Amino acid sequence: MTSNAIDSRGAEQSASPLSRPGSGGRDEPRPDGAGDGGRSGGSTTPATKPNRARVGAVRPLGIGVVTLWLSVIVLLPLAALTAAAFSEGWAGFWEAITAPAAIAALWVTVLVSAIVAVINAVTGTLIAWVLVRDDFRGKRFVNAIIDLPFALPTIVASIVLLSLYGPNSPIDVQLNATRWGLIVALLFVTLPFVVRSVQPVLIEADREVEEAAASLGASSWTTFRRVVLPTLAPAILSGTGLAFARAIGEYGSVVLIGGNIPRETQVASQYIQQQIEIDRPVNAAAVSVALLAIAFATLLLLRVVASRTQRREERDA
Amino acid sequence: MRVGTGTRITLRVLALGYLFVLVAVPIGVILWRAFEPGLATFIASISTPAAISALNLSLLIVAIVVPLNVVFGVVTALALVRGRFRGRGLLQAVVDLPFAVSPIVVGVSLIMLWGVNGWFGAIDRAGFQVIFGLPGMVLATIFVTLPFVVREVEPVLHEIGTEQEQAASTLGADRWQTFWRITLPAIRWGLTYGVVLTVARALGEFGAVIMVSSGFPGVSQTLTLLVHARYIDDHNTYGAYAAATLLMGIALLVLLLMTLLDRKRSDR
Repeated sequence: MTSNAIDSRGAEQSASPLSRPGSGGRDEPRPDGAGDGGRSGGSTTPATKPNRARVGAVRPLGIGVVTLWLSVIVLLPLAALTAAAFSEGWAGFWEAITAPAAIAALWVTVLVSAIVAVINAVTGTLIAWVLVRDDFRGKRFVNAIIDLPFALPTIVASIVLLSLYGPNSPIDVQLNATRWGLIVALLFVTLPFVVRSVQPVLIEADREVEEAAASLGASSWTTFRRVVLPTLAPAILSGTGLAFARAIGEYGSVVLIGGNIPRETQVASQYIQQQIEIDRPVNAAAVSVALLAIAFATLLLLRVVASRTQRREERDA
Repeated sequence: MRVGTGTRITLRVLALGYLFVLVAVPIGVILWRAFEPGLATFIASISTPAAISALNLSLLIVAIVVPLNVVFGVVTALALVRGRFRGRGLLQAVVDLPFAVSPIVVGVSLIMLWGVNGWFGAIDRAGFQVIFGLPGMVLATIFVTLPFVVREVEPVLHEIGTEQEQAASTLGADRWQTFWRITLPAIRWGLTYGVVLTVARALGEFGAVIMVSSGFPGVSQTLTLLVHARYIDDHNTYGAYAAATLLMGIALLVLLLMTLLDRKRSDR
């Protein structure tokens, strides 16, 4: 009985070509050993009968359900989108994304998002540094505020910014229907990315190296540039990239403050929405695919850079 | 890095000033605008029939989406952590996909699949309306909230391993008993955290939902669509501020819950 159970387990394991050795938390020998210990007690042998299928294992049914679920919810819609984008062939796709209004919308999106990402790289690092290395009353409150843009619905972010920078601005700063309005809205919704990715690295950073640099006569600016910044660079880059990826797809926070002026403040998501409204589904799908491609390229680049950094760190260590 | 007091204060002022202008002041202004005409006006504005029906619709969507995400999210997490099968890496990537897709693109994709002229258009033509109906809004919300439960439960499953479950089965527990008595209690805080994130996003989703909703007040308007319609269509700026403030209150509640749950998780 016992050996039977172990045999089937072994068979199942070796049958799977994709089992990756050493991936965390799934090391099987340990539970096996524990199970053996229990079983060799012998008192429960009859009761183990229904459990021959490995405990905690996922039966093919489960995998089938998961695949079906992810397909219906995520993959099929995206496949239908791609098919629609190419329903008139490559030429149709190319024509749709190179229409002057589409190009303009994509350009505004990428330009504004890039500006927002760069500003975030600076301010996010600054805020993370102040939250980790500085000490003042109300720091915990400020720390909690950082997450607010993630918790706040995007349309609320739009209304919130309009109440201050909109047509009835109490301080007479009107940013609605300008690119500055777009930038402020996107800065608001992307605030947490760089802060939250730099903060943990800064907490873990080895301060002795900084002390050493200072004791060797480096000014604090030099220390920051030569010692702190290189440590933080991967985290800053990843936070900046995530902020950029988020910004190019953003809709809710810019829809009210942006003004949707073609070639000026109309971003790609607004252009797509407009094309659906005027019943040009191929245009909408094509620009959607272009937007997706930019997002995927950004995330892929981030992953490549991250794995390269990690490999270098491992080699140095 | 030793920083002089002057520099430290300067950096602090810069950082806090940025947060003040970008976050604190706008939120202060909207709170002031929402409550300045008095609490009675505020309550009247968020309890109009259209507002109540919007709240009900938002809650209905949450009530449908959360159980689905819990069941399929836990099954997905189990499959990703414990399953060994071809294409597991692919499924991992698919789970993260919704984070990279713009809400508007989600809406367009759903239209291309479920719309009258989409791949599954036959369902619509047979009289079961998906796009511009409740099912479309539910599908859009599931799409954008799909990763939360999976990604919160996964690390916990990694951490607990299968020892306790092995022990339970050795003692004669069947699969269900093992799941209910061992696995579920172990993942409960991760699961709760995932549910909180799902609820917050489901209530706040705008772009994906507006694409697949007909947006009729009192019928197919969620809270976020109400805020938008009041500002754009009705030129009811105060009403938009009030509804946005209500949503903001919910978001703050969620943030508070998340902080508490975080503490609970790290206590474990």
